[in-house]
Amino acid sequence: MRSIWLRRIVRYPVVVALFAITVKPARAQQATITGRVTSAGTNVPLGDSRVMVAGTNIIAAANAEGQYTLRNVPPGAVIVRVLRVGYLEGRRAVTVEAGRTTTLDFSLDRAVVQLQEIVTTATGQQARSELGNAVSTLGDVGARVETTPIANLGDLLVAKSPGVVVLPGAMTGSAPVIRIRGLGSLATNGSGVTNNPIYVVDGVRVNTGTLSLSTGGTTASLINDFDPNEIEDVEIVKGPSAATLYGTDAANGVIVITTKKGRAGTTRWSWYGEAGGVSDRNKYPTTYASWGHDATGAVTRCTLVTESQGTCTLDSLTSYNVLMNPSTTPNRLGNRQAYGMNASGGSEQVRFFVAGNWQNELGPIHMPSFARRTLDSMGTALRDEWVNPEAFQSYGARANLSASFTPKFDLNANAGFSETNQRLPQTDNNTYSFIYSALNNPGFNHNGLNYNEVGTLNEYRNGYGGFSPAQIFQVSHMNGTQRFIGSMDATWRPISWMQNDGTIGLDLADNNYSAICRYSECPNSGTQRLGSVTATQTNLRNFSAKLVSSSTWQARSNLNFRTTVGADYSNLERDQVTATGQNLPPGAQTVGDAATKTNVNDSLPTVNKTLGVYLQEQGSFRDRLFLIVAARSDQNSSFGTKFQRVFYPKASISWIISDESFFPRPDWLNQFRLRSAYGASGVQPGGAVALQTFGATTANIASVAGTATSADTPGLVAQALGNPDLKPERSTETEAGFEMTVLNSRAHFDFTYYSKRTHDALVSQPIAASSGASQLTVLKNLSSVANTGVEVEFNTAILDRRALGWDVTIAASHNSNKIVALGNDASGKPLPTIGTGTSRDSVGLSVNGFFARPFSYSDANGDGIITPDEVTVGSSFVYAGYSLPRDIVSVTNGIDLLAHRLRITVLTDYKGGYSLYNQSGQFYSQQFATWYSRNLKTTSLYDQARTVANSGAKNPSTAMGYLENGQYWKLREVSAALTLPAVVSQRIRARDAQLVFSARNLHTWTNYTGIDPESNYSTGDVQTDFSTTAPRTYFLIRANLHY
Amino acid sequence: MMRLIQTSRGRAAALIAIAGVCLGACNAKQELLAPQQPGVISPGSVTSPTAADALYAGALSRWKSSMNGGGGNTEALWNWEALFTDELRSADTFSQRNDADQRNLQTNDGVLTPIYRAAQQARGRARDAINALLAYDPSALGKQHVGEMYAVMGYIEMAMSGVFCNGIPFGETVNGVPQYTKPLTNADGSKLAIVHLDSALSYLTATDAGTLNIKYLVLVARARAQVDLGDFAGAATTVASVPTNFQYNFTYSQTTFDNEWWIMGPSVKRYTAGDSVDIAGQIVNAIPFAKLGDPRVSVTDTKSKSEDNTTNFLLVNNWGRDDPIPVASGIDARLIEAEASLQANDIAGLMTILNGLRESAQTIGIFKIGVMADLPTPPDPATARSVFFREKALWQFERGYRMDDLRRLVRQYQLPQDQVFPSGNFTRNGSPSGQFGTQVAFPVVDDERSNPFFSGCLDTKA
Repeated sequence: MRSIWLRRIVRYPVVVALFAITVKPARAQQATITGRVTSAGTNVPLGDSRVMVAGTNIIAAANAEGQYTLRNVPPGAVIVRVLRVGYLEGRRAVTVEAGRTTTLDFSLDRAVVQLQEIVTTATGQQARSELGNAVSTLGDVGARVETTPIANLGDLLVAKSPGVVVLPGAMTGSAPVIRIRGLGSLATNGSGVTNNPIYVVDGVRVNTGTLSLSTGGTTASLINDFDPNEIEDVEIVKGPSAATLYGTDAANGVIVITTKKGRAGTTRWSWYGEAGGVSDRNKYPTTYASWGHDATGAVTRCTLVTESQGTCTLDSLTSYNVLMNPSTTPNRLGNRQAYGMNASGGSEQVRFFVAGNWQNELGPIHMPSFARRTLDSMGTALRDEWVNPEAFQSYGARANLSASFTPKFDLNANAGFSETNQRLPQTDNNTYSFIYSALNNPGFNHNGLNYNEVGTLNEYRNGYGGFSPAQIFQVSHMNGTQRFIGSMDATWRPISWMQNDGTIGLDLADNNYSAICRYSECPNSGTQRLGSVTATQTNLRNFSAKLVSSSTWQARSNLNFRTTVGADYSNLERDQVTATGQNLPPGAQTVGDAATKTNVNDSLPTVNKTLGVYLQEQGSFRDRLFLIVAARSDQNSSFGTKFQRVFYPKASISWIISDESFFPRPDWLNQFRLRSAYGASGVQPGGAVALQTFGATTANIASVAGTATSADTPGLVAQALGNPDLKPERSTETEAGFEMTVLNSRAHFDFTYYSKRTHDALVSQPIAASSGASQLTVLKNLSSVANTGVEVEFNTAILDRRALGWDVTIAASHNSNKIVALGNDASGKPLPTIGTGTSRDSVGLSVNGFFARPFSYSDANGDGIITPDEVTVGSSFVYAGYSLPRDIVSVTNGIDLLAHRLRITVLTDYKGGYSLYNQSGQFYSQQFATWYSRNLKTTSLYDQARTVANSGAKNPSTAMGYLENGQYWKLREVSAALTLPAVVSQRIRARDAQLVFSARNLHTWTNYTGIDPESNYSTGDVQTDFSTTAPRTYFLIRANLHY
Repeated sequence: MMRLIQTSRGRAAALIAIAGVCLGACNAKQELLAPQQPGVISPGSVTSPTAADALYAGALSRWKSSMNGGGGNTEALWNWEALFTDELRSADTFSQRNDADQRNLQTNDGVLTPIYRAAQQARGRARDAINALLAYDPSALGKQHVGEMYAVMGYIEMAMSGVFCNGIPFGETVNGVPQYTKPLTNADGSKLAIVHLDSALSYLTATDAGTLNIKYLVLVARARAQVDLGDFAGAATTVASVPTNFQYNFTYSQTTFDNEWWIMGPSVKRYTAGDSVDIAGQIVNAIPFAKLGDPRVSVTDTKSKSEDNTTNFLLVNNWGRDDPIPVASGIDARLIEAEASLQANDIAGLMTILNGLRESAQTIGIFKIGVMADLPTPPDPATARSVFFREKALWQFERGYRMDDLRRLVRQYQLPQDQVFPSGNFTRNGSPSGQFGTQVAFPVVDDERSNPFFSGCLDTKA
């Protein structure tokens, strides 16, 4: 039997080779180290401290009493390290004997600068100092969430990390956009390729895509299913140099989320309650009416141009602002409540963390009272979904169990469930958009000059141009998601030098979306009021499995090796059924009730499966020089049939050079570390894009050719052309940097330079329509994109006194992005540009760069009005800048008062180095004579000129004037967290209690002339501001009770 | 090493190592990465007579949507032609519709681009169907379908050559590889159309009703191409056998997509009927379709606002939600004969044909037109020309004729464009917005520049 085993094993030379690397002679008996970790001076136990034997897999977490136990420690001299957020690292050498227990206590000095020293990598937890790449960690997320205004993951991530551009969702619960270290992919529709990072929660690849809920642009996101209160830590793996082992979809970064885990000890309860207001504090533009008369004396609407041309004589000017007038605006103060609890405890053998949360947020958009009265007068009973069309509600529960069955075997089971329900109003690029109707105001609010205050339903429109909010908000868009994310991971340490981890996990999301106009409801347009309903059910299923085996070898007393071999598998599945019905009987609201089922579409189920294996070797010399080399190979179901597997290498070096004897140690320098890393990763194409496909279509064709009698007939049409050579994008990145801690650990400085090159970038190579091809693009690996940049982080404690503290954190980054090549066109010539619109990809310029024709102007007659003949528009498009911010800066000031019982935090952030397309200004100035730049003589000549250059009076015209500098500063977060005196907390029997007053998105400083530089409804790479609101302002009060 | 593996711990390590890497070593692609895509219709499924017929049905649907819209806001060639000419006015705030209305289109226009694509791709789907039918369906019906698909190709080439600038490439895709061609002048495009229409005729040898209908469609389309080439007499000969009551219709249903004229008109009020006046006053050269009260163009003044909230909505009643609309008809054939008479300076013959149509009740799709009084005989050729093109505009309202006719008035009848196309002051959403433009053809869109042989219109003349 044994010989058969051996024969089987030696058939696999790879296995044998790996085995030879990982195996070392087993020792008969191991040692144990135990002890307690406390805070120096106060002797307060430091639970959650991570204690590890340097150069091994042996790691333990201290319990709530600060106790820890390290088992299976190889006998001999070892170095034990202790790491905890907020404290300086503890490190002690000790010699342990086989079969004996050694006691080793640690007393850690409080660090002025708060750094997270343990990070989660693809191969497990690791000390940050061992890594050659930069990893951004948010640190103590629990404290952040408790003391700052954080409602969702987007809030948590915005303005926290250099190189990470976060554009928050504009409306309650809407989708944020996150981009890391520039754009590497020329992502195009249908390619399945995006520049989104991937997300891993407790080792499980999770879905974070957008949902069907779309009301003209603004949409919902699965990202908002995560409750920040349950998160222990968030780590941002920024690029291929760090993300190699996460596999073939990680080139645009990985956001690793770790949920809270149980701690051994007395059960600790935490309760929180949060309430506050949600408002839209943006300024919306006023509309104007220039009342005048023509040569015949007939009353007509003037514009600046017709006044200047003499065809209209101005008599008077009126104005109105639907969105700022209290009697007409749908903006009011919304509200938010959130409540939750969690409990953590258990024994050393079994630990638990359980949590529950509920939140309800009503955004500021509501049906104005005049519109409610309109419906009342029509005898229509109001529905809450109409009165409050912007709403987000969720609840969730989590149970994380950790068990140590034996000293050699641990098991963690993590399970989280959430349900979210959401509504969004009609907005953005949509004729039913309330903003569109409001900005369609004629410049006054009464009958006259082509405006009738009574609409086609005899409803009072009160200044709204298209439809009244009474009907607009009857269009109900509702979305619900039930979500389960669960994982189980087991750790088995059969021998002291080996640790084996296995993880399996599921992310199941069941999303239901419905858009309903019941009979005799909604705007009187088309067939809406006959009743219509769209129902979409989307199922998303992710399955992840991972096996990792790490073995350590102490080759010399100061030389350690760790070999890791791993394999992981992910299966991302999605299917969707959409049905649409029209002509509903009164009261009906399902597709089944509809007289006409116009569209039943069970869209293509897609799967995307990845199987990867990897090997990593890490060496550490004297616990100060760390070298890592690794390689990963992936197979993926979406690769072309002619492409089988991809290889990604990785290498990194980290050197705490300040520990070397030769390194000068001035008094002010505490630690200096050099690091560098190189790695490759990829972005996989969408599930079916490599394949040539046909699609089914129903055709209504005549029973006898050409006659008027017809029937619906099943049809087929060619669809995708396919590409059997399709492979993943491949990004390689080199980064280098240093970290230094200075001034008695009162300041920390971190600098990183990165250079990322995306090869084989997937490009939708355009195909000219004259070919008659079924698809006018074909996805090919043609392009090359370069991103370089620098990232800087600086943390310092300016004051750290008993009564007063002041710390500052500054994070900044700069990115340069350039398309190096776009491949060749059909004739074999290099393709210089893809795209014909305002946003294009052009060699030598940034991805999705803005382009427009230039214009010039001169007020030749000096009348203060720019007319078409005074504007010249160039014939060729020219580059007009980046579409993604290149420069981001965030500055966080933390001030501790009242002996550190009151902490005030102020976060301000900046984005710049890019252009923003003010599509609202472009559209409304072109289409409506009511726009300020067509009426107000106080409008600057430039503003008038850009309007004229963009008008129908010019051909060619140009939107160049509305490609504006997007830079801004935003007062992002302000919070005051007051820890109540013990006498107060004791009265409610709490260990401690906190009251937090906080606010988000308080003010913006910008020259951008749109609503707000964060107005956006796109979830793609180019920010889209068209009839769009901006992120809401929150004023919150929160109570945190800890028992 | 062997001793090591034989130890229990060594075995454990070996097992784990095996587990870690065997997923990659054990032919796992087939086992763990399959099925590739469960929902895909692959080429292997399209190798039967039924599949070929399904491709035929799909191609017909694409042709229909490429000419008269694909439902919703998916406009197509006929719709855009109507805006560009005097048939309709834009009544919403879409800048592209207003640009089309103003004859002021950009070469990267966001609506014209998909219109151009749809027409060219519909050609491609017809070619796909021809290839599949010839390979898999040798039946008589299959033969008829091949003829109809060639008719589709020829019709599209004729229609595009009638309205786009000189310089339209017509290529193909073979085995997924684009075969680009040089741009053709409008005349050469018409000649290409005739080649494909003649190919159609070679397959339409049966005498059943369906085959005859397709054949008449082909003859009318071929004659239109001949007219575009100036071969008026030949065109008249081509359509001589087409009966006046013939119609080849596009048909609609709510479960596929509706007639685009109904969608953009009464449904969402983005198009309003053309008239000779608007808020800014007189529109030069425009037939007052709305005020004319002609039974062939039924218009109701709704006294309400259009989608743009400022333009008075003039409702065209010709087409209901899913009413059929003729691509070609016997009336069209007679009008081709009438123009031959006009060209021959045979005013009496011209009026005989025009009045002949008026003297009988006619049906366009299912839109009924009663008997109309005869027109007086025009006193001179110029008046006869005006009468003819006015009659033609009314008979062929919203059926993809008017823009080609206006271009021909410039090209073949030597009239200045500003005496043919709508001209003068232009209003956009109820407000003055400069003048009508001077364009007389749709530009071939920038999108086509992916074709290495194309670098823009050869010229933009009529």
